[in-house]
Amino acid sequence: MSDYAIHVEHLTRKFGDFTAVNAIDFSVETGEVFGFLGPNGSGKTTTIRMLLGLLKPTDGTAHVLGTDIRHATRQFLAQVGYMSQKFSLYSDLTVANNLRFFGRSYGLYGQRLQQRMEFVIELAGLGDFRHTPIHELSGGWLQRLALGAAIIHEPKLIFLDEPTAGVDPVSRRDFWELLYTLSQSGTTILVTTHYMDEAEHCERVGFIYNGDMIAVGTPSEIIEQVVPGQVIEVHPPDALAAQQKLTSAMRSGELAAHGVNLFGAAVHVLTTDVASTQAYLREVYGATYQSMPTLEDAFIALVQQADHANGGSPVPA
Amino acid sequence: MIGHIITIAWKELLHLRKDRFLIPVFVIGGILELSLIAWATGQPIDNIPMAVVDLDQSPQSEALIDALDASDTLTHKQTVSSVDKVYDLMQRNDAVLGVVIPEGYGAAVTAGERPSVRLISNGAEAVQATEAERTAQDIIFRQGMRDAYHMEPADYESELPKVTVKYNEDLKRGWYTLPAESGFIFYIFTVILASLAISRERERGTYEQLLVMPYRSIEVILGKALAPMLVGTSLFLAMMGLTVFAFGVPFRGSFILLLVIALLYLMAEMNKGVLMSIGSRTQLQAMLLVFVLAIVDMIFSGYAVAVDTMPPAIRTLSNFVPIRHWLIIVRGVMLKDVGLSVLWPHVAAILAIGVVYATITASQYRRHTD
Ligand SMILES: Nc1ncnc2c1ncn2[C@@H]1O[C@H](COP(=O)(O)OP(=O)(O)O)[C@@H](O)[C@H]1O
Ligand SMILES: [Mg+2]
Repeated sequence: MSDYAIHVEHLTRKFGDFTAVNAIDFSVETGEVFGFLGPNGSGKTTTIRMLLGLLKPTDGTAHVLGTDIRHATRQFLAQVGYMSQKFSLYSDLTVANNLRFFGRSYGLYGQRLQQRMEFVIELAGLGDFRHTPIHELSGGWLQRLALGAAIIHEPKLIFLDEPTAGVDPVSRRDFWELLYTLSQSGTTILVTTHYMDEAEHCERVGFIYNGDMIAVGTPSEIIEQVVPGQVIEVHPPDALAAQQKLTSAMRSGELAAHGVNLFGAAVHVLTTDVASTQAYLREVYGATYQSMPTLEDAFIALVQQADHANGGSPVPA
Repeated sequence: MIGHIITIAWKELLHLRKDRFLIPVFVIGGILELSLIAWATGQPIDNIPMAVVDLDQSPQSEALIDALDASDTLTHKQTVSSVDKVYDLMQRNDAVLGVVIPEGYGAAVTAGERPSVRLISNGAEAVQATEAERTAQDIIFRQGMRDAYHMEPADYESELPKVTVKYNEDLKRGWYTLPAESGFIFYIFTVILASLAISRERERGTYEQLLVMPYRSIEVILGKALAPMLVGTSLFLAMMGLTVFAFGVPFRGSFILLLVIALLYLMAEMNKGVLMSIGSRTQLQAMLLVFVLAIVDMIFSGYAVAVDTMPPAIRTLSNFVPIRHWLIIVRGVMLKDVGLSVLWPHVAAILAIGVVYATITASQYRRHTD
């Protein structure tokens, strides 16, 4: 267990009759970037809050940095960082004062505090805004500042809850660059997101859906297991009608595929029999494009399986 | 430990400094309120409107009316023909006192008697009515002594009861109200500030961040308490300064003693504020709780209604309200020059209430996360 930064067994949390997190199991190795994925309301934040000792589990156990989370001590809290889904900085205070407060709260003073503050200010690119109240700053900067504040005390493990929600794509990419740098220096990172393109950057991912952990593994493992083969993409004039038509073709065996998904104006057909599927699709829709399945394909397939098992409730996302 | 407390207190003071509203309102509002009360209670109660029904119309009855009118307290507004007319005037608030002089008053006085004069007072204006009644009785007595018995004050005053007023020699209302009001002002502002301390974090979503920082509950609570304490103490000094130097209420006892007790008192009230803060989701909720509790405090304080006249159950309850003890202490020290040997039960009560609040607050702080 000591090699795991996080080790979770049957972790469960109920709110009244409602089960927000349903007996999930997973582990995060030390130094790993672990992506915790799932649509809104699937239980990501609830899980993180339990792992931080903010919420008592209804059942199950979890050890974080070797500490049983039911007894989260101050020594434990000093070693973790948390960037919550809500805005967690003090908007009326300046950049420098926010960082000073975070640093001092973790016992940083004097020279060391100055060094760490400068590090974060540089990381967030806020050199010219030290004395600006942060409510005057905009999205991408705030995100980086919040990350910086969460790591000012050099935690061994950080929890980032939807850190890139509502941030433009360029800022999102910069943000992930930062995470890599951090990870390189040995920090373990658990990050939640519902952007599947981001999830491909993670070393390992866990899919949570309606409180159930429906898959855990490396992105390539999951893709291989869930959506083997390739994706053939077509761009029909009416994508929705085409998806319905191809789905029934697949069910009747006419089309040798195991998944037909809507991707905006495109339809993705998953298949291991590339040649015959391509031929079938060319005949109907003309041009086809071939690609490797993505995590998003895998996620959609997993959600369909889960819903099917549950008697076919509608797919969100 | 100390470093952590100071860090939180420092952050709280930064919030206050950034707030362009709260502190100016406290300072200006406090000074304004106290000045108005000082001015209002400093005004003598005089020129109370009086209506007269003179059924005698003799030189003696006219002399009595003139004597009443000559006093500062009463002003002869109208002469009417019947008691019903007096009631009419009272309904329209044109008279607080009615004086009915009976037929045959003049003849009786000439014969050496002191006939009864009827007074009607408007109880709806209780303060003025009491004052008017007291003055009218005194004047009617003296007038009777002079006109019926031909006696001057020097002849009978030695037989009247001798009254000595201690501590507030001239019975100035300001000496009673101002120390109490300044107590209310610095107390309410301190509790409001304290009540915002944690609800502000909840409302803005920073509370969870605070909870995952390696703080002990007691460090957060003490840190959060320090800023309101500083503001409260400053307000206490300002209000006391005004009360004594601007409004002339004497300070006869030990200032250091009162200051130390004030700190204990503020600590108790402030813990109450922090507790309400923990129980609230938003700053507005916290404020409303403060106001509800302030009204209860007002009632139990003994300021509006004397504690000794309350029903026994309420009197017992009032012991758990810190401001009741504070009012006794502040009057004791300022006006009566008494010290701990007399006041210790009240100081002990304040201390005990403070400890109870602090304990509850510390035990509640972590629980309220979801
Ligand atoms: N304190 C709470 N009380 C009741 N229900 C809650 C509470 N917190 C979360 N939930 C519910 O639990 C589910 C999971 O929420 P959450 O963990 O926030 O999802 P996610 O972070 O994946 O979007 C949601 O349906 C949410 O409404
Ligand atoms: Mg969430």
